[in-house]
Amino acid sequence: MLQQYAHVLLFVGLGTIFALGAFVLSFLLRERGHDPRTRVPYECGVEPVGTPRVRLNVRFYIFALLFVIFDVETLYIYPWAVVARPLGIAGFWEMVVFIAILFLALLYAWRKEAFRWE
Amino acid sequence: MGIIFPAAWPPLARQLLVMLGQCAAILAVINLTVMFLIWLERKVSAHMQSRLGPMYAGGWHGWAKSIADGIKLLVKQDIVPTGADPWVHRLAPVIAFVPAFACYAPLPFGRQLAAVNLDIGILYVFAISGLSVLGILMAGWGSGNKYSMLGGLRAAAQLVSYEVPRVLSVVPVLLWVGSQNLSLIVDTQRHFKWFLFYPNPLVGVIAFLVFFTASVAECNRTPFDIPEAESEIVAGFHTEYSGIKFAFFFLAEYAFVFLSAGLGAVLFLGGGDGVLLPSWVWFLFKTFLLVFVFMWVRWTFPRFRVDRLLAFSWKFLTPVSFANIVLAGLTLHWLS
Amino acid sequence: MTLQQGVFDGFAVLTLGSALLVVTQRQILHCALWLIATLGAIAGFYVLLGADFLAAAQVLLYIGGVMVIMLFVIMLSHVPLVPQESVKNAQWLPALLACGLTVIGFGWTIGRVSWYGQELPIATNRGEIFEPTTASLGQLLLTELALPFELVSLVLVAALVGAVFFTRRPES
Repeated sequence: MLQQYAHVLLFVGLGTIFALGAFVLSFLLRERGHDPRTRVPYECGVEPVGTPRVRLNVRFYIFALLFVIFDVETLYIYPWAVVARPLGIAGFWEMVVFIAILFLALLYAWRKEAFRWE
Repeated sequence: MGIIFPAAWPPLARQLLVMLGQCAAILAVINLTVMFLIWLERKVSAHMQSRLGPMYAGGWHGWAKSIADGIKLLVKQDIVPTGADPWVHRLAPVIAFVPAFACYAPLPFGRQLAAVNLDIGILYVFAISGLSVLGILMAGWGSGNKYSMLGGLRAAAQLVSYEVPRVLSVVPVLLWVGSQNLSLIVDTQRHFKWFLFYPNPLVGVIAFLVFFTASVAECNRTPFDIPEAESEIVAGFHTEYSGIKFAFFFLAEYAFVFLSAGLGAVLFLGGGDGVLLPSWVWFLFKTFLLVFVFMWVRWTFPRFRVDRLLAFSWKFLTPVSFANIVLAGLTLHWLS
Repeated sequence: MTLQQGVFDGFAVLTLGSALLVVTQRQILHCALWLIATLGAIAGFYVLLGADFLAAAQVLLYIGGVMVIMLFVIMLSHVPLVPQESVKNAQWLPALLACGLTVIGFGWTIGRVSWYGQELPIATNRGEIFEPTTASLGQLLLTELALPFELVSLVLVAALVGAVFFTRRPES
């Protein structure tokens, strides 16, 4: 098993080397620009107004929170799914209870309009 | 093997070289495929809109267009905007690309043709592909641009929202195989027992449709391309990217398209299963068929509105995949 | 096995180095990015210990989930692009003392316990020793640990209710 993960590590390493190598190659080959106007942040051609740190909708935040909660759930469902056949019907009902409780939670968030934008 | 590597070499070095060779081969395959896909996308979209698309570069139907684009992007000047966080800005495309490449490690390109035979295969792919969100957030924050920031947040919210139904939709496959190993999943589907229709066609089709829809959304493609809605937020998180940095975002995006199509083929369409031809040909055929559907969908449907987009995942796809898991569990016990 | 030892040392250096950068960087987003590196290196340790499912969970949940929340929070709050003046506040000395005592405590405990680690497979140099863990984990969760398993769903519901509560819109 360790050999397999060494191989995965090689994938990560080679991917990084490839990306950084392409950056270095581009650094050696590319055209040099000197016009400071090219470095102005793009805002449809006019001078940028205000700071880039605009006030953004806090709605984004709940989607990340919900994602983590359902991700934890997934990590419990996957091991069950792998051994569902030997565990038989008892394991199935245990999982139905587990899923039902979280489904109710999803309905709660829905009812509280957590998925509404405005 | 003995011809390529002299026997006198220590076994560890030989083994490492073989492994490195496999990585390099997959890297080359991905790069070539992505270049082909970019050309194909332009041709497909053009013909769907009664245009011709690229026609000049290389001669026949502009076949060398992607090569020309690659060279152009390599020699373009590197622009880091004045308000940017320079290193976060520069590293974001790398963080977006490396997971896309590392996800290919356990993907079986045919029967017994995976580089790494991982027991946690599917979970590994989902865990690693989830890392590309970080690259997008880094791009959004590091560029010092309002549109990048908003686009990065939108893209991240969309990616995490669609990750949930995508991860849940493959549970029926795990139930039927009893393993997360992608090579084993392909082997179990031999002789046309494809999970799209084999033990229970209803469960299979629902799972496949949820998986496919969520995958289209994960790749930020129309009708789910809100992160890049040019009429609202210019080019989203890669507004300030040009040259080689932009090229890597593009590479990552198309690498994910090919990966999603390949996963769809492996999980639901039997991977390399088929008659007469070698298994890798079947795998590539099915994958490119799914890639074509990706493109077809992209150039057919209009864009979702951002609030409906997120609600669609939570209010429709997630409950449906929950119900599908219960249905799949019932099927499993009805069968045994 | 020397190669394994080398990889372990590499991960150890990565963990400690990036953890140090987490607390010394002046731009809070950079702290978060270094924390990602720390968590990733810890996933590497899990793999070295043969816990493949746990490593994937670490990557999926902590890097792909919790750190995304942190980045969201940083991006949604008004963090200036210019770095802060100092990373220290009035409590740095007590904090340093508390950390130092914790380190000494850990070191003392680790030194006292007789580790059966000398007989752990990691030190036996027998090649392939680890078995994939997912199936045994599932077996354990749904038989011996069935009650805690069901309670986890309630914990998750509580977390979700809290999340909905904190992001609710004010009653008008």
